[in-house]
Amino acid sequence: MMQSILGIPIPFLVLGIEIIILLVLILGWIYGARRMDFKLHHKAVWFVVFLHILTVGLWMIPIAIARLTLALSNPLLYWYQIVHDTVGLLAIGLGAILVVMFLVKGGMPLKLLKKTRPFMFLTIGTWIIAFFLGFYWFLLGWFP
Amino acid sequence: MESNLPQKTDEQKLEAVFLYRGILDAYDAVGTELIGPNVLEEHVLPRMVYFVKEFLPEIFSQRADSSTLVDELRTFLTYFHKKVDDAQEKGTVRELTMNEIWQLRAAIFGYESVFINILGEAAIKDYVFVRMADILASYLPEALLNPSVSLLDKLQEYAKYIRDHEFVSYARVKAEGSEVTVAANGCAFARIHDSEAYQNLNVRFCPWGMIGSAIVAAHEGRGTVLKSSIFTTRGSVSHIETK
Repeated sequence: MMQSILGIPIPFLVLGIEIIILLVLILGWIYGARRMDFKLHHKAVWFVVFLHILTVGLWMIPIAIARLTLALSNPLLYWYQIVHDTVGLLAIGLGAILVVMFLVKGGMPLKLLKKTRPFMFLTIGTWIIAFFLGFYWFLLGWFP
Repeated sequence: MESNLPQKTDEQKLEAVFLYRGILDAYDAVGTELIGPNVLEEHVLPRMVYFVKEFLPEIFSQRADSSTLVDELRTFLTYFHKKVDDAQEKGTVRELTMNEIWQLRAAIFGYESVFINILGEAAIKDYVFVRMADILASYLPEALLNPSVSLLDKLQEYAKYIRDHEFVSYARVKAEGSEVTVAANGCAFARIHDSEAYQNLNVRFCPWGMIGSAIVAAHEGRGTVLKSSIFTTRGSVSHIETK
């Protein structure tokens, strides 16, 4: 598997993109949802979806599959990878479901908002946990 | 059941009654004009019962008979104006209660429901809200009617007013060409967004948007229409357009 793009090691690139995603999530929440600027909120969501297709789809999932046997052979040693992958999959899954629900329903119906608001917070919460575990994994890999 | 004495934190919120009174009077005037002098008795009160049951379920649980509730709401509206006038004269809202605010909201949505069902939503946007904005303008504070102040400044003053009075925790306004947006979050009255009436889209328009519409109408000197209000669990975004 390719290990660098334009001379930059891919894990560094992916971490950089994930930090951008974290900032976009925070900004989308503060300046979008809390300030009721839903156009901005939706733009932030779509931007995050796009970046996740790149980072999770093209890098993280192939790596996770490649390392699965190793991680499961010694779960105590590779606990951070197992938890990161599990929580990350949960976050991505919840996020994907939320995006599809609002695409299908359209127009932000209040009933749907009321039901999904707790799941939005759960999605961000699990994503942040996965992010910090991923960052820890990155530090272990590059600064042993 | 809430205590009849307003808590200290409720007092500022109760000052919204002066703004809501303007909305109610505007609805009443347009309703009488378009439907007839008996619009309240024949159309609004029965619908108001539905909204009171939605917004004040704890009151409803103590009323087995809806017609008793209709009589009580009729009495409430009859004496409501005098009570608000007294409050304005004394400069205090201490004798008003949050239950009365909810009943007032129920009356407002009763009128809205009447207009939607009898006149249709198109008529509301094409005529009713244009007339209401004209009427509401006369209830606005002087500072929001100064012709030398720009529209955006007036709207920002309005946003600051509803934040400072703790009607909402956040308010944002935007004016671009003929499109105006009034957004409010953390509304003190958002608890009624939990009701089936809101979630089934039986109500359409946020009072904060209506007042914003009146400010725009008074400034522009021509028809203004509140196109839509999008409701969230704790706030709303209203889109206003000048005709």
